[in-house]
This record gives sequence, C-alpha cells and structure tokens, in this order.
Amino acid sequence: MKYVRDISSIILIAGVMVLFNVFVTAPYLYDVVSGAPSKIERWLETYKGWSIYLTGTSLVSALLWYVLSQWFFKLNYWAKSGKRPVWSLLIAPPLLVTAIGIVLTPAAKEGMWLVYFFYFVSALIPYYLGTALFSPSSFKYAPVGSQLLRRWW
Amino acid sequence: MAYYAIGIGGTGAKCIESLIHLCAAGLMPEPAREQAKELHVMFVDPDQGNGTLDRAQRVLQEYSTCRRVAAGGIDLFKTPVTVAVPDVWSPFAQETDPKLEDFYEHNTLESTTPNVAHLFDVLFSHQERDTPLGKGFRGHPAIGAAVLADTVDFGSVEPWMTLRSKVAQDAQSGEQAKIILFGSIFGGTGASGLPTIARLIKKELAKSKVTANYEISAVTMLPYFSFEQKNDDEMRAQAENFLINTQAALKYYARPYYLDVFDSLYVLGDHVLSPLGPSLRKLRDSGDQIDPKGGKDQLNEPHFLELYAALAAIDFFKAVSAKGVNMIARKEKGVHAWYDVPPVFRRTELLDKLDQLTRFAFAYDCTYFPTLESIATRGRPFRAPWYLNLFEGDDFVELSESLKNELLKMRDYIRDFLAWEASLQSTAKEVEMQLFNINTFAIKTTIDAKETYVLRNPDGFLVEEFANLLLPKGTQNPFALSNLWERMSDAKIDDVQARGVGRFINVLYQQCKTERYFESPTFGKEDSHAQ
Amino acid sequence: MVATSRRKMIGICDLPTLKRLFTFFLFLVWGVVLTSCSKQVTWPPPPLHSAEFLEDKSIQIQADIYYDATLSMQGFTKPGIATAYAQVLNELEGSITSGWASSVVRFYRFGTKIKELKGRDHLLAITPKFFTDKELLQETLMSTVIDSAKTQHLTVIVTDLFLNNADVTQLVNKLRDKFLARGFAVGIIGVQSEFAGTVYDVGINRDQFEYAGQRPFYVLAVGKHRDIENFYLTLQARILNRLSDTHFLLLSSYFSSAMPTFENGQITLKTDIDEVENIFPHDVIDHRVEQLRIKSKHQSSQIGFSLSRTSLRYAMALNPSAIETELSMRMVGSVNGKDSLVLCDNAAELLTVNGFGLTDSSLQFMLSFNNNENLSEGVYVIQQVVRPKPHVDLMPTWISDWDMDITKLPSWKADTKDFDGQKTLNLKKFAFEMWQTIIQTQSPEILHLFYYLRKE
Repeated sequence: MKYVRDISSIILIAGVMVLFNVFVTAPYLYDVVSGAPSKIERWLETYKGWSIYLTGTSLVSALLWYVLSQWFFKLNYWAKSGKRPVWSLLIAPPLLVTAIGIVLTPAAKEGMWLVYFFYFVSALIPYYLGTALFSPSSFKYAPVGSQLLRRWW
Repeated sequence: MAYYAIGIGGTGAKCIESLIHLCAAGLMPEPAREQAKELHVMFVDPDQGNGTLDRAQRVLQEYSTCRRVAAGGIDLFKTPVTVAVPDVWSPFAQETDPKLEDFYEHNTLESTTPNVAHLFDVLFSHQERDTPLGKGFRGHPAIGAAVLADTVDFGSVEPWMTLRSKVAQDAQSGEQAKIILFGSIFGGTGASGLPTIARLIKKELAKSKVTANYEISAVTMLPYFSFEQKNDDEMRAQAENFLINTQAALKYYARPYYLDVFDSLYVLGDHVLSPLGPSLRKLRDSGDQIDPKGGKDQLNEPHFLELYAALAAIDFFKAVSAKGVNMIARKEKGVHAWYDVPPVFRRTELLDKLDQLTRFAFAYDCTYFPTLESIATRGRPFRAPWYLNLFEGDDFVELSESLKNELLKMRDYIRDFLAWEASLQSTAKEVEMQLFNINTFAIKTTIDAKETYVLRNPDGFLVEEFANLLLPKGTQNPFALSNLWERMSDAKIDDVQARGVGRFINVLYQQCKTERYFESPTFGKEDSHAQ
Repeated sequence: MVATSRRKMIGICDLPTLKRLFTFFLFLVWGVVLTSCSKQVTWPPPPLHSAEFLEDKSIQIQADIYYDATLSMQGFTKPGIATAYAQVLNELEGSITSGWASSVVRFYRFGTKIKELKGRDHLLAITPKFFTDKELLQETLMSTVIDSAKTQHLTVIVTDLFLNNADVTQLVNKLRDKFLARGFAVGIIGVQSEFAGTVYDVGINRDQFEYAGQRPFYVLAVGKHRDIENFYLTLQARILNRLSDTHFLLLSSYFSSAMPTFENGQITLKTDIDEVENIFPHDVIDHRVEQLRIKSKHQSSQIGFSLSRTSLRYAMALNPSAIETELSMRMVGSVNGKDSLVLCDNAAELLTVNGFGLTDSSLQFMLSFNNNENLSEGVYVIQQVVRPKPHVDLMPTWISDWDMDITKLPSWKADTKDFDGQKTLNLKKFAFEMWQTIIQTQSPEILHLFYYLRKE
C-alpha cells in the first residue's frame, strides 16, 4: 500500500501542477506577456500545452525514479546506496523537453523570461517535490534538500 | 535474586562464554531489561594463560562495553553482568612456578612430620609432586582437589570474600541466589574444582548461617572432545583417559555425600568425541599447533555442547526447585538440529532470539558498520537515511568518536559471536550439524592440515542468504537485507531510554526480529525428548 | 519500542503523507495571489448590415428588353444582318433564357414612347424597317423607359446612348430615383458595330453626320449586380467573345464578392499591441472584428493587416489614392447603470490608418495608436470604413476612349469625313455621373471593419 500512496501522491502533485498552470500562471501570463505572434489566448494555449508536456515529462521521470528505487535498486550491498547521480540524471528529460519547449514556443516581445521561468517550474517542481517528498524509504534523502523537507515533518 | 556463574578450568570458561552469548541474545529469564537480575561471573583456573580463558574474558569485556551503550529497553545485552575482581582466581596466584610438593612444603614435612610426608608420597607420584602446575592440574583431579581445598578462602581472599558476602546478602534479604558451576568431569581443574568448590561454598554459607534462599547447581561436562596427543614424558591430560576418568568421577558423584552438595546437576556429553582444531580467533594471529597441556595454546574451539551447558544454566536460573531426573537425547544419531535442543524455552523463543542476534550481527558487520565508516571518512550521509534519522537527529552522535569506541566494540563482539556460531556449527565433525547457516559469514579453510572455518571479510558475506542464517532454511528471500535497509530508513524510535549510539543499536536490533519459525512447517512438531 | 513509521490512518492517507502534501500545497499559495480577480469587460459584436452582403443572382428572372427604335439606330442595321449589332441583338433573349433556370423575356421598342413587341416582332430589330414607326422616331426618351421599367425585373436597353447634357442629367436622375437609390446597379456593355447611316443630334445644335464605319452601341442593364453580371457573362459567352471590340462597366456599390474581413487575413506588423479574444463574450466569433489589447506602458502601438479580397470583375477599379478612410471610436461606458458606447471626440488624434495598399486579391493597411497615455483604461469600439472618394475619376479607359470630343465638332463640320463616329457623345459624363450618383445614394464601402480595444 505504501507504494500506492506514494505513486498516487506523485501523480497528484503533477495534476495540481497542471491545474496551477492552467488556472493560475496562464491568467497571470495573460496580463504580463505582450507582443505575442498570435492572439494572446491562442498563444497561451501553446504555453499551456507545453507546460502540460513538461509536467508530464517531469511526472514520468519522477515515476521512473520511484520504480527504479523501489523495485530495481536493491541494497543488499551498502555501497550501492545513495543513487543521487541517477536522481540527478533523471532531471535531464524534463530539462531537455524544457529546452525544446523554449525553442518551439513562439516568442512574444515581452514577458518571455517569465514564461521560461514557469516552464522550468513546470518541469522541475513535480519532479523535485515528487521525489523529495515521496521517494522510497531507502533513497528518501537521495534528492538534494530532501533531508530538510522530509525530516522537517 | 542474583545469578552466579563460576567457570572452572578451560571447559568452564567455554561454558561461561556460551552463557554470555546467550545473555547478549536476551535469553536470561527476566522478560524486561529493567527487571534483569545481575549475573556475577568468575573463573577458577590455575592456568591463567589459558587461551580459552582469554577468549571468555575478552567476550565478557566486550559484553560489558556494549551493555553500557544506552540502547533502551531491548533484550540485547539486557542482563547486567558483573565480573569478579579478580575475574580469574588461581590457587597459585602468588606462585610463579608452583609445584604440588612446594605447595604442601614437602621438604618441611619430611623434616617435621615425616609420616605425613610419606603419606603424601604414597598418594602422589613423583611426577605429580614435581610437575609445575602453572598450566593447570594436567588432568589429575586429585591434585586439584587437594590444592583447591587448601586455597579457597572466603575470609580473606578475593573474589571468594565478595562471592560469600553477595550470596549471603541475597539470601538474607529474601532474594534467592542461584549459583552454578561449570566444569569438565574428565579433566583436571574442572574435575577437581566442581565438587570441591561447591562443598566449600556450602560450608562457608552454613558458617555464615545462610542455609536457605540459595541453590547450587553444576553443569558437568562429560567427554565430548579429543585432541592430538603429543608423545613425550611430560605429565599432561590424556584424551584416551577421559572415559576412564569420567567413569571414576561419576561414581564419586553418585554418592549421596557428594551429590547432596548440589540442588541440581546437569551432566552433558556426546558419544562422539570431536577432534578440536584451532579456534577462529587464533587464526587471525598465527597458526600455532594445539598443545593440550594448556596455556595460550589451549584454544579449544567452542562446541555445541557448551551451548547446552549455557542452556542448562538458564534452565537452572528459571526453574523453581526442579525435581526428578530428566534425560535428553538426539533424535537421529548422526544429525543434530534445533529440535534436539532441550526445551528450556518455548522453542520459538530460543531460535527467534538467536536468529535476531545473528541477523543483527550479520547486518551490522557487513552493512551498517562499513556504511558508518564510509560516512565518517567520505561524507555523503544521504546514502543512509537511517544514519541521518538516528545519528543526526535530536540526539546528535559524534560519529568518528563512536567508531573508535562503542561501535567498534560492538563490532568486535558481534564478530566473536559469529565466530562462536561458526564453531558450534563446525566443531562436531562426526555429526551433521543443522544449527547455523555459517557459509553465509564464514568460509572453510585448512590450517595446519586441519579443516576449519574462518570469518569472511564483511564484503564477502553471502547477503542473499540473510533471511536464512539459522537452519533449516525457510522461504528464500534474496533481498531480505535490502528490505532491512528499507525498514531502517523509515524506523523511528520512541524509547526514551535509548540515547546516542544506543538509538541506532535499538532500531537495528528491533528490525532484525523475525518470526519465521512460526511459519516453519516442520519445526515445533518434532520432539526428540525422551522421558 | 520502535515504530516502523508513525501511522495515524486517516482514510487512505496517513499523517506523514498528508503533511508532505501540505508542504506541496504551500508552494501553491503564492501563485494564487498572482492572478487578479477583476472582472473583464466584454462587448458583443456589432450588428450586421445588409450592405455587407452581395446578393446572389436571382433564381428566376423577368427581363424587359427595350430596343431604341429611333433613326439614330437605323444605321446599325443597314450593313446587313451580319453586323455586331445584329449578332448581339440575336443573342439577347438567349442570354436571358440560358442564364437563368427560369425566365420571362419581354421586348419593347422605344423612342418617343414605348411599344411592346409581341410575338417574334423583336427579331425585326436588326432590320432597317424596324426604325420606320413614325410614332417613335422623333426622340429617344430613355427617361420613359426608366419610368416604365420595373425594379423587380432586369431592364435591358439597347441604345446608342448618344445623349446631350440635359439628357444625361435627366437619365441619371431617373435612374437614381428609381434604381440607384434602392441599391440597384447599372451595367454598360459597349459594342463597336458596323454602321452606315446618319448620326443625329451631335452637339447643342443637334448636327447630324453621315457616317459609315464602326460605331458603338450600348446594352444598358439595370437591376441587381449579380443579375447584370450574369447577363453579361452569358452574352459574352454567346457572342461578345467573338466580336472584336466590346467592353463592359458595372456600376454598383460592390467591389468584392464579400466584404473583406480578418478571417484569412495576416498580421504584417505588430508593435506594442496584442491580439486577444476575450473582449467578445465567451464563444462568440465575428471575423469583422479584431480584438486588441494595449498596455499603459506603451506610448504608441501599431498593427498592420493584409486582408484577402476577391475583387469583382467589371466593378469599378479602385486605387489607394481614390479611397478615403473614416474612423470612429467609442468607449464602453456605463450610462444609467447600463453599459453603452460613448463617442470619443479625440479619435482623430489617437488613431490613424495609413499605408493603404489595394490589389484585386488583397488589401493592406496599418492602424496606428498614437499617444496611448491619453487613452484611459477600458474597452473601446473602433469602426473603420473605407469608401471611394467622391469626384474621383475611376472610369476605365475605354469610357474615355469612346467618349466623343465635342470640341472637334467645328472640324467635323468643316470636313464631314473627319467625323469620329466611333465615339459617343457624353459617354464619360453619363458614366461619371452615374458613378457619383451611386456614391451619393448607396455610400459604397470598400471595407468595413471593427476593432475592439482593451486598454490596460
């Protein structure tokens, strides 16, 4: 059951991130972004689409980390503990998709830095929080900073 | 009530060693740490350089150090063990090279009471009178009896003074004192010490008007081992004389006068004499050949019968005025398994606790101690969530200091424990032992043309067998050690008595608990005990 | 004792999980404040007006064909029945019947008065004896034709359109009052045909000249734009394509098959201005309207458009210098508690349209917002109407080419051989005055667009 709870929580975080992008950051960007190459609302649909892709990639990475650390990484040998490099490597897909999103999102004249910031947030927050808060016990401190987050509670 | 254990001779020391390991496993009678009664231990051995005695003393010291770790209310090391001061009493404490004739001042007797001197000559051969006794009584109990009767002094000699006063205090305060003596019946020191010391204790307590609230028992070991004989002219214990000596001794014990000394008597032996090889511990130092005359060379491996001796002691400590004659036997002639062990406990309790301590030792040695060392030298504590929770939580522990002190002592103890288990499993070579799955942490090797087992390096432990450290093997779970790590990573402790390193010890010990023997389809149904 | 984890079961989640999820939700709180809660003003699209739609050709047609039966037309028949005149007349009825699924054609001849041609009598119009009815010979009173014409019918008049100034004015007025004021169109098909006869009523003294050669006659069509166009296309296919010198001019208020909109248009330039979709109420689409947004920090803004258009063939040819743009701006305000539009007086200083370009297939212009700081926050409705300028000559060249230079009359009198019979008196005047009349009565629009602007 523990893994059901953890996986559900990771998915929930990603879901909330999507809702946050659609209902909070998109309306915010509507006011901030200017000079988009198409109508703002359609341009924001592009933003929303990419933010969903990024969150999805982040979710996939987080779930992959969970699956690997729960069922594949076995700690019969203590030297195989840690796995922080693996965790770090799994950030790469969201970052890669972020870079693609940045390139393929038509640039507006104003507000694009904020857009890129939210892209990074969409890509990193679900992965980071999903792994920092819900990594399996044996690797729960592998995510950087998770010691503070999880021990705080 | 307090418990008193006196190990006489080398065999007595080995029995004490086994008893200490059972104490570490939490098998003494009291259910909880705070109710644990003290076990007072002392050794009687003229051969103070006895290697077996060294090992017992070392295990005792490790036990004491490990017990000082505030590990909370767990059973591990729950029994407080005090060691007599001095821990080893020798009748020749002051003598450098004692001989019997010097002891009885034969020269003086010849001049002052020649008749006594002549009686002395009749009773003891020239060799017996002239052989140095610094390494024990050389398998001549008559010598030992004479010496011990004359040297044990409850009035002015420690540790006898303290023993007497403690027992008297226990008895007079209404607490029942239980005194058990361990020794072999076929050797020299044990054969002479067991009845003699028991009688002396009883007499002394009677003099002190202590006639109730104490019991005396003994575990007498019949022949169960042999060793390679050296052919020279020196007086030494002769393995081929063991059975004859045993027969003579048993006749002695059969007489009411001598048997009445004991409230209960445990007699243990094996029809197969196991040839003893070098002990595991010794192998780390050098490859000396065993010399049966004693000394540092007397490094007899632990034998499973000593486990029985320790169980006998616990049975004595637990039993309330046991009556009658009870016999035990092995179910199958060439096999020895857990179902042959006498029912001192509920069967599951013994195995559960031994399994738990074995897992603890295994995991500690191959996984947790190396992890802590790695963290101390290379950092990156995130690798071990349990470390952060238990060492860097509310009760911060200075790891590098602990690694030099408590944690190191714990490792020393658990390696001795694993070595003891490996010996129990491998010593009785004529019998198929089905006690411990020692291949997981020990490996067979040959030293001085003798096959023996040495402990593996921790990184060579067969970790996939962690779930099956006791025999027979149960359900295979190759990732049991990994699962332990996972449970450790989540474990929290709310035992307020556990502090510092003790929090980690507490948690690890608790997480090593298993109940697989409840699941065992065969175990529990076999009952080999015959009435 | 050790607990593997603190467990307080709450539904399917335990306390540590809830705490961890709460950590995550804390991150969301800051985001909520980013969004403003103000209600955005919306405004519905403007109402449609009929002038935007070019009516399709009629499903069934009733055509009245009037032949000019005065003597000035007889010369077209004397060279024989193979003339362009004869060929065209022979195809008039067929152009009607084949151009519509259902048609009724009546023929008339006119001069001083109008007489209906019954049966097959209209076939005689290509013969000289057609012009011997003394009751009709004296004057070509086209005004009577206009008077008797029916607005629901397609009226076709075959005449030489040789009008003096007064006739032009009268005819134009008649057409204006009856047809143009009601949004109808006038088509002028000009055909050069063989002629041998007398050209009457040249100049104010009504001189006449004997002339043999090519002389133009005209088929005027009055009715709906698409009906006239269809009539011409059918006639063209049946005969005009085989004739050497024919032209067509369709005078109406329509320049393209549909009013250009922002649908399929492109933004060619955008500076400090954004396209939005939220000024309309939800799910409303109207391609006539471009929704825009300007922010306070931008001093000025520009947006350029390139819109698709399909110009009507035979309509007036437009050029950017012959058009004018009218801009008006209204702000959505609250009057007596109701949202309504309030006219902005300073529209001219706030808005300009320039860079106008026009081709048969596209239309480009740039809308500039100047002095945005003078624009207060709110929603504005801007209307842009582009019309042809009045008094600008947009006539095709053939009108000028076929227009008679009456100043040469004395030279013709001096030498009648110099008489330029290929031209028509006051053709240009007639066409131009027709066009001006259309501008005055129908207010033709080249473009009619709206901008909804939200100033933030």
